[in-house]
Amino acid sequence: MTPTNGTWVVREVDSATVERLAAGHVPDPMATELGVDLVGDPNREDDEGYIWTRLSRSRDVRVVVPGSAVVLGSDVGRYLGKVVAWDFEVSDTDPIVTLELVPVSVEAVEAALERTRTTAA
Amino acid sequence: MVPSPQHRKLRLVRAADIPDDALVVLRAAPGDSGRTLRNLVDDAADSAATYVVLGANREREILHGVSVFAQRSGVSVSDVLIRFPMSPFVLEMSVGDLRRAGFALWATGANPDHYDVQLVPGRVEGVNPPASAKELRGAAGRFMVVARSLTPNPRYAGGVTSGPEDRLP
Repeated sequence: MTPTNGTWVVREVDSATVERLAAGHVPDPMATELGVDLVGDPNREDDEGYIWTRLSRSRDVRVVVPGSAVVLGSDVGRYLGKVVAWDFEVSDTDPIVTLELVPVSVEAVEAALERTRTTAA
Repeated sequence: MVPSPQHRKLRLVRAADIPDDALVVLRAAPGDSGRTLRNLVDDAADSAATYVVLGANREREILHGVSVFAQRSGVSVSDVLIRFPMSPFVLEMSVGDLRRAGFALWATGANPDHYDVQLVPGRVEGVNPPASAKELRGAAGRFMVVARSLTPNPRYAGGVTSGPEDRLP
């Protein structure tokens, strides 16, 4: 399937699975070092054209469930992404995480949200 | 680094898409050679823990892959890099140079411009262990020699790219 970027495509995971994986999770050291939700490289595309990484590369499993907005990062840079799915084909405990890049910068979103706070005040 | 699984995912390979030696490929990169090396090793290790490709005898070869994107005739570097505005530099090399350095290129995934460069070939799942971190660093270093230099990304929008162009080893 070719993804349609900017769509609402999400393959949901049940909460019991999320809690099972969160219970045994150790935050990825590079994710902590870089201050990102997930270590992942925007160069990497899976067979469907999505960006991919592994759940073990996250800081906190609960914030990278399908449908979440996340900051994906590596030495190549920090990118905003939306988690599309967890793929368990390779591992029951460390699924492949697939994402779409959101074509705006983290800083642009921060600035937009800050404007709404200022306006609300 | 992701632990090695017992059974990796079989990568989709576009069988009919054999890149010409003259084709130039690009990869978004960090701003210095140390972090570029780390990024290549990190990506190849994750790939090796996740994917295999089918070899000539249908053996399941572990894919120590790093992604690159084709720059087709008539397409600018800037167009290829449109989705990498937060990456300050780019690695650029020809397919011919990669092959002469001993690297195989696999046409992977649905995107017709996406390829994986196999950093460490010949490791068969269930027979050979994946490459060690030391082996990956050596292969990534040779890959960087092929690229010769980090070139500023014309799409970079993340701030000031300080310092002179960083020569690679």
